[in-house]
Amino acid sequence: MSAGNPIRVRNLRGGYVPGRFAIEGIEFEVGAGRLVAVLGPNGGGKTTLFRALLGELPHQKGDISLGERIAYVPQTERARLDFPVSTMDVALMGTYAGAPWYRRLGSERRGRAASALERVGLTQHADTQFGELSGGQRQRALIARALAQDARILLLDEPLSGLDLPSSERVLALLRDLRDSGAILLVATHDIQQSRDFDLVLCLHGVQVAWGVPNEVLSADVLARTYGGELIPVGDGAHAVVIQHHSH
Amino acid sequence: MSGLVEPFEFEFMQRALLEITLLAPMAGVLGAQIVLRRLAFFTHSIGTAAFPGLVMAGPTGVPAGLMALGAGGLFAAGLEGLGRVTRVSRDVATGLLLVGGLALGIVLASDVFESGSGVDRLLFGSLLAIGPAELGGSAIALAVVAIATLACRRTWVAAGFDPAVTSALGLQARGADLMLMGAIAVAAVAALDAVGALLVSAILVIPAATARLFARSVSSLEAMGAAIALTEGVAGLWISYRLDVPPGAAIAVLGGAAFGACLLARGFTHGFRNPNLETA
Repeated sequence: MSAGNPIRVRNLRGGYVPGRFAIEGIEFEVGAGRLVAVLGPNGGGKTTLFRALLGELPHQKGDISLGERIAYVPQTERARLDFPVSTMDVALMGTYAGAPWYRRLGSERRGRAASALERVGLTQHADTQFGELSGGQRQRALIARALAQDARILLLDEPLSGLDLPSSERVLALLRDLRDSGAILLVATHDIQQSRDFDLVLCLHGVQVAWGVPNEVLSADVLARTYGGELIPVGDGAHAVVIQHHSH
Repeated sequence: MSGLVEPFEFEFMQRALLEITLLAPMAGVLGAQIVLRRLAFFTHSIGTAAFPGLVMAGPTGVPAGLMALGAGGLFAAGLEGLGRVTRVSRDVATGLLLVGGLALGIVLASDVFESGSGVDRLLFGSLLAIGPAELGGSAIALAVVAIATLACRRTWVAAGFDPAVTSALGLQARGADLMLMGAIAVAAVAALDAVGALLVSAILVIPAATARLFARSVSSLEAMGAAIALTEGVAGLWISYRLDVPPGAAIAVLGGAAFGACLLARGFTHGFRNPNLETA
């Protein structure tokens, strides 16, 4: 392993109940400026891996070394659309940690939130209610909140889920822009085709099925082991469709 | 004009007015969280759970506020315990404990202690009989709520907006939530003297729910909620004096009517199917 890589994970295993691992044998490292797809079925361990990286998993073993500040960007559906907060309010939430409770947020924190909004292209929507933004704009607002945390490692939970094509392209362009500026982005996704455009791919199915660059990793065999019966090969077998099961 | 002001020339009315003035800021800041975090049922239950404590306060000689807080604490602990050891939802557990607290209070009041007509006062308040001790209690409660709000308001807002991310934002959600529950309990106990165990929501929920129809930020929700609570309190007090009706009930009816009128007004101007109008 290279000591200089901002993310180093070795023999990680963990879960929510003692002795029962939801993920096992996770081992990878990522250098600065990488866009990483985390592929896997529902229940495959993507969110569990993110919780482990955030230090929120109740039971975990192995080594995680993070050389940069980390932030989490959830699915937009998790946020309350009826909550009376503006886009700027949401970005400011990223600056709350460590702020003195007895006085107003200082200009440095407000400036950080404003810069984050500018970075994601939402400056003109700073005063718009979060619930009145489009799906893609909401996703960018949540990314702005993570950027306002001064994080260089971003964990994004299905950021393109439910977005139309233009919005999806806009968010992807933002992710690439952040990658180019040196950030590391781990993106949980079901979209196999889209993940071929990422720098690296981590395939999970409870255990780490594969890790590496998409051209080498995304073989029919790896996808079959990652998705099992949820995968339907299409055409010549180089492409496949994932059947998603949603629980409500 | 003198007819409007004249009732407030009496000392007991001035004390009642001061009590409402102390309760209104709590209704603003906590009411906003109660409505946004969907804690209206919990708030109502805390008030009701305090009832047996109030019944026991007189005969045992323990200050009513302390007994009510103790009963509220037992309620909260019971709620937490039921949530941990059973599969019942939080709403069901709250309902169970609410009925238990009310029934226990009635049994204590009718068969154990000679409380007589005092039960009415405990259930529906006695704003016109507020004394210096009650005012002092409300002032202390306001100070406690102010400190809790200063310390935790940002975390309350972040957790209410997106609970899954609170700890990833570096905020202590668990501690802040406990502070919120504690602050609500303190405010509910403070409001008991004014509106009684059954009408705590008239102060802590209805004004904020009304403000929610119009507010576009948490700060404006807090300010509007406090202003509405103060207005409804003063108007209810005046109606109570003029019509000789219980002040707690007058405030509650007025609050309900104002909410209904504002809901209609908001509906006619913005439509009735606005998802952003969800309240508690």
